Amino acid sequence: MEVIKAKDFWSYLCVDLGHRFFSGVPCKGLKPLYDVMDSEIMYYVPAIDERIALRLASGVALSGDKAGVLLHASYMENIKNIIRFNVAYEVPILFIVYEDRDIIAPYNIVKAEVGLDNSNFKKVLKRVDNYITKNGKSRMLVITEGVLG
Amino acid sequence: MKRFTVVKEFLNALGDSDVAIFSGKELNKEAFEYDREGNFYVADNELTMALALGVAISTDKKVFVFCNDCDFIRDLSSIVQMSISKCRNIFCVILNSGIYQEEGGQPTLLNSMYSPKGIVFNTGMIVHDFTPLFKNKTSLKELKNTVRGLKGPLSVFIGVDKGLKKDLNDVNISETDLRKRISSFIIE
Repeated sequence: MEVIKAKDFWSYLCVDLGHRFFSGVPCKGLKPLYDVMDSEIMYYVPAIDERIALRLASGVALSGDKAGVLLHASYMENIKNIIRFNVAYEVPILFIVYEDRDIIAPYNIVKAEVGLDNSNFKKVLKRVDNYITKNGKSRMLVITEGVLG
Repeated sequence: MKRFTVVKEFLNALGDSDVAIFSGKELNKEAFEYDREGNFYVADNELTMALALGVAISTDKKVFVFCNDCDFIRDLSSIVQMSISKCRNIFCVILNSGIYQEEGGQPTLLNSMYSPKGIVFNTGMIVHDFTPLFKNKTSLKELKNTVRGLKGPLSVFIGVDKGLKKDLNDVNISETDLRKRISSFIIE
């Protein structure tokens, strides 16, 4: 499997699809994304915890902008209660979730896209963006070990 | 002064373009009596301050978030996040009754804390106590000028009397309509 270059990932997501705001809590698996964040094309706010990251992103999304949250799969359970707001008010968030071998992302909280690689990531991101824009519902992109480089 | 009256007077003092975010069922009902386009009501009262900060990040409008003292203590990490953000347009209004007004009247921990204002101040946030402004009609006249001259990130403490206004109507706008309304208000 060919790795996705983190720079290409951001470039397509931020420049081509217009997702400009992100918040989150760093995790080792998403380090390649953190390493190449470019303030020219995106705005990232480090959050104290994942729940605050989600609320910050939701506030931005309330203003009509596209917003995302970066987190480790193990913390998805923490946001389970407050994500009801996003469902009720139709405030969609793009979750970029790192799933390692031991901790599987909880697929019952947000619908997920899995199986990303270099050959299909643009197609998948486009599909996720369409889904978020048209339905006002959140979507989760699952990143697994070795996908990003 | 009762919380209902404090909310009414504070809303009167806001500018036309200011955003006001409320959380908690009873507080929403009190604010809804004086509904305006820039009001937004959140049914659950968890981390509303962080939500308001997200709104403030994406607009130049002033964003006021109203919360009870119990919500304020529970979400202290949001205060830290606000302070770090250095957003000039975020204001947190803490309505301090010293009790869980909406949950049966048991005492909150705020007044047992050595210095809640000191904690907020030490995060790097400006702290004001507006309680004296709500003492009489003469001081209330100063409220408008005071509110309009505020610069964030800032926390405002206001002491309110115990007790809730009864027989108020529920917020009768659907969640999605509220979201559409606040989105258009922010963008305009």
